[in-house]
Amino acid sequence: MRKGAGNIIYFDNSATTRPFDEVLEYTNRISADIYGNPSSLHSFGLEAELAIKKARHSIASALGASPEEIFFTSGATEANNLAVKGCLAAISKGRSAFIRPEFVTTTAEHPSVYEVYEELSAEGYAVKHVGVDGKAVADLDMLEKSITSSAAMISIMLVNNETGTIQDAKTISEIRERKCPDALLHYDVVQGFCKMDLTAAKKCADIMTVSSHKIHGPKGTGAIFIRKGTKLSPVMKGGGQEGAMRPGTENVPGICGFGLAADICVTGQDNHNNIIRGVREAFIKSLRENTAESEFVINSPDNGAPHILNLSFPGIKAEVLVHHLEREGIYISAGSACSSKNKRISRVMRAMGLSQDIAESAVRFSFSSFNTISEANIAAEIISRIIPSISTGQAGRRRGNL
Amino acid sequence: MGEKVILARCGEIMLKGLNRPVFENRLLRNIRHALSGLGKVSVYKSQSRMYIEPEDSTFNFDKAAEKLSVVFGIVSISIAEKIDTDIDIIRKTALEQFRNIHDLKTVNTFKIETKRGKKSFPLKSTEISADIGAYILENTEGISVNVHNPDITIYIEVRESTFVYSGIIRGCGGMPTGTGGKVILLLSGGIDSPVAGWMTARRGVVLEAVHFYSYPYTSERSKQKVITLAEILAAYCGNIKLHVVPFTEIQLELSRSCPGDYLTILMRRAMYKIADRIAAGCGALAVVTGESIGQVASQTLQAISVTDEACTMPVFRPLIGMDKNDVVDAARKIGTYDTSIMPYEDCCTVFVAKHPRTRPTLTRTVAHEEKASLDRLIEEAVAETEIINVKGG
Repeated sequence: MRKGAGNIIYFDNSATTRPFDEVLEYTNRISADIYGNPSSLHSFGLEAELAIKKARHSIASALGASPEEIFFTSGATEANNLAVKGCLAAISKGRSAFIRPEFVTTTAEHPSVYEVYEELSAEGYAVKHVGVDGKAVADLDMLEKSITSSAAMISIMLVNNETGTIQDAKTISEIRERKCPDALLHYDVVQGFCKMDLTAAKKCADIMTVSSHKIHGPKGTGAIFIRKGTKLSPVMKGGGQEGAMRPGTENVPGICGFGLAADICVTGQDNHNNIIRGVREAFIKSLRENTAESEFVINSPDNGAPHILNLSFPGIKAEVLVHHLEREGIYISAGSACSSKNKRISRVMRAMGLSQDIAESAVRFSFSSFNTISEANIAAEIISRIIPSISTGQAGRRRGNL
Repeated sequence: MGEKVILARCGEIMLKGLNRPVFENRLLRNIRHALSGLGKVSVYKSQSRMYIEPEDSTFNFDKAAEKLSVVFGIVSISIAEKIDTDIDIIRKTALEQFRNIHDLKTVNTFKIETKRGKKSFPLKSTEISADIGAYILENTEGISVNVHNPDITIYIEVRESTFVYSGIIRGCGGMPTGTGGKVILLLSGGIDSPVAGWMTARRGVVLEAVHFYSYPYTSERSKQKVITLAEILAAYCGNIKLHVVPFTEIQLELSRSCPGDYLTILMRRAMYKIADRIAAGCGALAVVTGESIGQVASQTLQAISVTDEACTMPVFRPLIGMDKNDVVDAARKIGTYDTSIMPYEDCCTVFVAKHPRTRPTLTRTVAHEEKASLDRLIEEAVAETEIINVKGG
């Protein structure tokens, strides 16, 4: 039986998702039959080009953009790198008229944005970090106060990948209009794509980045939306593919699978979201029924994305719970990878100001439309049963019957 | 002109007395084994050297030198030209080697260093060096001799045949694997224990490793990490039998029955007891650990003496006097460091008290130990140990 088809409970859908069967079949067929190079002059190459064109339309329509504004990449990490480095490249080529450009981002970004800005900062560029509150909501007062007309780019993850927190796209855009109309607005919408209404974000964003494997598509494919007229320069040189924005022979099967996955997600979006909400609610309800209220803390906000639920079971290290659950066939993520030798609390948890105890024990459950309410109930029951049996090994912090 | 061969110099085994052939023959076998994937070679010993002569024209000398550089018992290696002992041929060969290097990098100064084993050869060592040096100077331009700090040195060894070479690759030294008996290495996954294992193995000792596995408090990745470390060690010292001991039940029992500040010390005693049994079962004569005095709470002198008491075999701690920085440097050199620092929980990090006891006494430790019913759990852990055969390079 395929993994995820009943024999395991896969609650790690923010890490990656199980591909749709239709997508697997389609990518397989494209790999086997349409292996021509889209850049080749012959008709066999054209077939591949047309397949990509179709996918480009799918992604564009899912984002409410035009196909010319979509550029395929190897994934969201590359897309985010391209966004920030491409903005800087445009400035240094004189395409953008910033003298001392500033970059503004938050302390709770994905590493593919955060680390790029760390590098820029080390190179001497001005990078400002806006803080977040205990639910990972960006401090927009601080954004308003700290941002100046020198801002060249604002990069914000619209849906936080660890907590599901949704940032206020409309207010961010208003601040931009007031304080720095020339700044590019870059939203990482990986965790929101095909899962929520992105109209408000799309209305103001100059750049958005998305990933295929988070929406049941193949890995190794993503895309960047670049609004027409946006001053962004490519960071790689090559054979001019993707409008020269991202050269290199296209990953035709990956891109095609991505397009199909987006089609399926868009068509089923309401239905999928209902399933996901149902699973989440059942899970929390069942957890509350089976576990003492004091045993866990919900770190995700109530109004966050329904598919991400960040919880802490204070006193139980995240990694320890992950392995106890994997033994039961339940797969989740540790918010923080930590060992007592080398404290590695998640940067985002630290930015949220969570206590050591909460941060160390933060785990993420993330759902998809493949999950069922019965899985949610089973998982919650197993967790409730396991929690008291996990020893923390720490004197004075023994739990339950230990 | 001649044929290319590899010279491997053996270190202290040459100081052995009547039992020297035992060490030499083992080293010959180990060399043959290390080179076994590279085609047919003949390996023989002569005086204080091992000679490796390929019988195959496609033999990869660089790869062979790389493999030999991790064979214990070899101090250094040179890839040499083996020629007839004839002054004219020696001159030409030395010049050719000089030119080959000169083509690759900037050389301004050089030196010739000669050893004359064949005393019947009419020129003395210094005379040969002067003769060859003069010959190279005559046939090149813009080059001078510098005997103190030359850019390159060309070595000439005059024996029945003559060997000309320019590079000396350092080996690991030590004694041939298989000449020193067998030990049990406690392999945790940290930085220290692989270094301790390497240092012991370098003395010709065969390793079997024991890892204490606390799944699901630790992950399968932490086990995989230990397998990777064993693989790195095995490239030096040959196949390693890795005993993965299920340790969770013992830790749970200890944390149920004993005070938190004694957990680490009691856990280490349990580890020693298990290692002791595994050692006895496989014919190992000692246990090796990566402890060094004062590094962590369980490695104070008091703690070490209390844990030591749980083991009947001698316990060797090759890192005992080393600073962490020295160990890290050694781990980098051996190649285990990058694997060791991967951030997975190991069994020591989960069940740890905030303030473990640093000066335990044996009486109190044993009193606490008696509260836990360990004997049966230790039997079970030994019985359920998984054995993984980690292949050497």
